[in-house]
Amino acid sequence: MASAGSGDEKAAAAAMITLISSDNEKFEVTEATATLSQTIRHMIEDGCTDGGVPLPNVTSKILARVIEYCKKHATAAAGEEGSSSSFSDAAFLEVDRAFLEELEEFDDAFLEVDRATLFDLILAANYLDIKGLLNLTCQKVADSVKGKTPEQIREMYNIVNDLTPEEEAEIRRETQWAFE
Amino acid sequence: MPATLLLLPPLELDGGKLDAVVVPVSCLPTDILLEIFVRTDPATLVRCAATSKDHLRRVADPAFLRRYGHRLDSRFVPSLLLGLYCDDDDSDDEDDDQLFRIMVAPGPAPAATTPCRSLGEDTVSTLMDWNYTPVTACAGLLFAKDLYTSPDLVKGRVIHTSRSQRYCTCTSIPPADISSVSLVLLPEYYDDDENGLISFRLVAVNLRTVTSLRQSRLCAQIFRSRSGKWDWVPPMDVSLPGGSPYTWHDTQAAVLRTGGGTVAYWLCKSGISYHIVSFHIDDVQAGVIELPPGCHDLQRNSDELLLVPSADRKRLTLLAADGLKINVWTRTAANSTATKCWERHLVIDVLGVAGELSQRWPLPRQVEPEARVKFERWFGERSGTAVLKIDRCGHFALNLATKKLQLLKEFSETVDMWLLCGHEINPIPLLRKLQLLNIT
Repeated sequence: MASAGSGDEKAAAAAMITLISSDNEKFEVTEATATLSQTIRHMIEDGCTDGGVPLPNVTSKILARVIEYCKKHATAAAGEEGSSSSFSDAAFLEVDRAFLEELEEFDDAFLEVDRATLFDLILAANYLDIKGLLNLTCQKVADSVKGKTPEQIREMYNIVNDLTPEEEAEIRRETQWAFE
Repeated sequence: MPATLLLLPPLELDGGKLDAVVVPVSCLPTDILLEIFVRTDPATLVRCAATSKDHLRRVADPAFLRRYGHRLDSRFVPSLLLGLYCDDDDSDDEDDDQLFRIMVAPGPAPAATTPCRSLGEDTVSTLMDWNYTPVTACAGLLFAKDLYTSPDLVKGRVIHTSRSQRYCTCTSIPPADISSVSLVLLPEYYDDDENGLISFRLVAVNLRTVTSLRQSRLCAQIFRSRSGKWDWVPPMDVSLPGGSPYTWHDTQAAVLRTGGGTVAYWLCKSGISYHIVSFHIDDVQAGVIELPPGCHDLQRNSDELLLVPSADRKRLTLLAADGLKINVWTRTAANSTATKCWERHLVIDVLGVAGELSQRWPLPRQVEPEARVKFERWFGERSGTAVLKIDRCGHFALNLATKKLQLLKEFSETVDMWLLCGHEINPIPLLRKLQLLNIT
């Protein structure tokens, strides 16, 4: 794929950043990959990435997955830039569309994890401020809540119920359409 | 060390089997829970809010609801369609002629039909006696016309359906001085008062031919709930290409809300082709837009075309049926009138859509090869639902967001169904009511 190839070549020439997980594992990634995280982008801008970026809130298992996501999406971002500036013919758009489909498939497969991992990914995406990943993972959880009762939702997220039965009845009365 | 790819075995995430195994994993911080809540559909959001006092307060918070409202405004939300009002045309029995509300069930189950009369507690049926018939609805408001006192002129009531029963209210609409062919109901969002009345405008439009000029003229009157009266709009001349006056125009308008204001569009048929007539309601200006290539041909029946707003209500979309296929065209440029400003971005094959459901196939009988899709003159702009009729099969609801087809009513030789309008809610005022609950 043209866009993916050129993206990788560009990336190879770019600066590398070292990310350090909470369990002290080191991950070397390109700047293009790392800057999908706004948190790391700001660190790079402030010039405080020498000697690696410690991420005390993210385990190596989760960080590996986050990096997997960022690599794929950084390539996608590079591809998009390339296509909008220098290519506009139909054939190239076709390739672009195929790549977007591939990205969607990647996202779907990426989300095939257990709930604990999914929650950890959300926390990591929030901490690292990766908008796309936060949206992707939160949407996945939101879809799984659909049609559940308040009691089931409490169980899913360890929410303590501090509403009295009378208050619960009152909410139900006011929002009957949501419980039909 | 380079990052390694961790391959995890695919696990079924919830998949509807949650009741059996509920494994609480960890507590997510409230800010993150709200990130999840904001991405749920309205009914689920209410259930999320009902999990604890803190969540209830945070969901009912105006800033959260504003953010949620923006999300709703940018997409079709199928669950906002609660039902459809239909007239059951059974000519054998006069007494049987009554108003039905078809409950649109989620999923493949056939829709249930409930006579309005039996919905004793339903907000709308209690307000609507037999003198009124639903004409048009928009996001929590329903205009029902008074059938007996002024059959030609617009008179009736606007019912606020986005209320719990306690707060159900309606606004009487005095007669307009216009014999209207199309009505556009425009709720003014996020602007409901303490009594639960959403302010709105009701626009009555009539496109008539000025024979001497061989031209068409758009006449309109606007009712504003704030002033409680109808205002005249200066008549606007509309020049259709070829100077040909119109012969038919749609009762169903597609309404767009862009930065530039509110614009309503109607399909219109002249002596030579189909066109779109636009009416910029704030600037009081009318215009003409060409249809996509191949769609303006008069060989087509008008019920094969349906003009609708896009999911974000900022662009115009045309559904053009071609046998059992529906071409979805969207306008790419807002300010140009030319044909090439349309892009066909989707073809929905009705047979294909139904086929995906395999044994849940909603078509009750073999579809005849020459069967055609015809659109009813209504579109649910909040839910993204079009209602279509397939020859000798029945009526179906097609959701543009999910591309799912649902059987509403099977074809019958004796009883036909007349769709009056749909019943969609605007959940924002309903969610806001949570604030007023005495729960702290």
